[in-house]
Amino acid sequence: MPKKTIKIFDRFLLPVVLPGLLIFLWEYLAHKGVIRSTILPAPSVISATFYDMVVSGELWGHLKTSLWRVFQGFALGSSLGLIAGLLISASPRVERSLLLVTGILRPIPIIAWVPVLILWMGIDEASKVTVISIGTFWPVLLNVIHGIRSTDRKHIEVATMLGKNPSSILIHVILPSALPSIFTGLRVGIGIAWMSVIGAELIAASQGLGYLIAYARELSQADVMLVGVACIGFTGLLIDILLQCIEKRLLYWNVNLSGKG
Amino acid sequence: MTAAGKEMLRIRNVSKRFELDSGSVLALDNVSMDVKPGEFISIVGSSGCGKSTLLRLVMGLESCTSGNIELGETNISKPSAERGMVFQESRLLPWKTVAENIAFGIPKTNPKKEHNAIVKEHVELVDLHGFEQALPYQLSGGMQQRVSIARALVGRPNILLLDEPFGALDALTRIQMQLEILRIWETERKTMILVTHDIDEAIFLGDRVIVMSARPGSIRKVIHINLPRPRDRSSTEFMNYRRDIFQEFFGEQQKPFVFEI
Ligand SMILES: Nc1ncnc2c1ncn2[C@@H]1O[C@H](COP(=O)(O)OP(=O)(O)O)[C@@H](O)[C@H]1O
Ligand SMILES: [Mg+2]
Repeated sequence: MPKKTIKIFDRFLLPVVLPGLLIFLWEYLAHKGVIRSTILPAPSVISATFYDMVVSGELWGHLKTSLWRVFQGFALGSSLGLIAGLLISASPRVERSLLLVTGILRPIPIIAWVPVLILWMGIDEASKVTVISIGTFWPVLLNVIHGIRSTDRKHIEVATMLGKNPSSILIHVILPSALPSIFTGLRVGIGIAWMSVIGAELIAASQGLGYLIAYARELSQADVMLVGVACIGFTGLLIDILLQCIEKRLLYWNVNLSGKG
Repeated sequence: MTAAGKEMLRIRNVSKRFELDSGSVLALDNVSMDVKPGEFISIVGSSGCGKSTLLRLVMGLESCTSGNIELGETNISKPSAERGMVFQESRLLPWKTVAENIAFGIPKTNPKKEHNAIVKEHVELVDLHGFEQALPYQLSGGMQQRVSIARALVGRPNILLLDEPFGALDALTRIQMQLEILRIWETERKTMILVTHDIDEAIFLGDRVIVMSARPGSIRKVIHINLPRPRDRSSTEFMNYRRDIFQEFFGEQQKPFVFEI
């Protein structure tokens, strides 16, 4: 086989071989009646349901709602994480005064906030956006701090030597050097945001993918539930790929990234 | 040449002590020396004898424990555009192109519209034409050091401090860079102070070679190099200077590199 064909095979075909085989097996077992359709419908049944829900616009309606919530919560949470990270890095006193508060708040699972926030903010958008922003906040905060801390002192010294003021040092040296780490925080953050929105919608909502799954369970529609679950997975994958593309563009100078191909 | 360029650098009874948890280190002990404008000084000494510390004091990155350093009438206490420094590691900002890294050295008092011309002039000076848009990781070690030299020169300093700038380069590139520095010194007529562990390099470039001794760091001997430039490294006179300096380090009894003709 020519080299190029092997490359295309490795890159695009190899990742789908295993899922393809599994789906084939699953379809076969479902037809034989080994798997009960009320528990796990055949892939063909799920695809048909998926098609119907896309055509009717139902799926897109739920997806849109969830995406919009994630967008708002992510924007809020990551901005707050960035600002708090900058403040904590800038002043050891701010860091000390927040040490205990962050230490207690951080280990709380995001899901535990949902009932509390519903009590405080009601059942509609605000409580969900807040849950998502809490989920995004922590990874962004920690990675901003880590990124700023790991700035090369020698680079800062060069800037000082060249007579740069603190704001110029921040813009030209510290932030660019922290950017790879900040991006890691954003990627982890959006993953958690996407999980949080589903969690919040499962508990209380009247729209969104989480609600779709919860409602289908009550009606015992296994196929609809699985369409919802698959949709969550694929959307999460797409978001991550999108962020990776942005990262590659923004961090063109990062040798570690461009090496990955 | 401007009036400022004719100012004498006076290092007067300078001592520097570093306080550590485990005690204190006397890095420099009562060092005095005058450097004439336009002079080329080489400093050699074993590792840890305070060479870098001396340059950092002249740059204004550290302050003297006792004694003082004056440029003309003014006491040096902080970095200034009239002194530039090049380190062993090029310390380029990885996210900036060659042109941007060089421009980073331009003082903010300079009008913005002159920046391009200044950068262009210095790209030519260090012979990097065509590499303006390259990123540091795409350059060889020698080229990175050229960028670093250009960045130190764009502020139009009167004094250029070089801290083992070619120490990490291979032997051939090092000789090429020595010729480069000599050319820049001859065209720009700056005062240059070069720290090196390469005795040949010190003799090849310096008007005077300062030999330092360690623990505590002090000046052991000053050797005037009375040879016309460009100097022939294989001439008898050159060999004699080299022998004198080796003897400073290893004493009369062991003569590791004496060439009797
Ligand atoms: N920032 C510092 N803190 C503590 N000790 C230092 C510091 N900088 C240098 N020293 C000490 O001062 C001495 C001279 O160091 P340095 O000037 O770097 O030597 P050289 O450049 O000649 O190798 C060494 O013993 C070193 O450990
Ligand atoms: Mg040193």
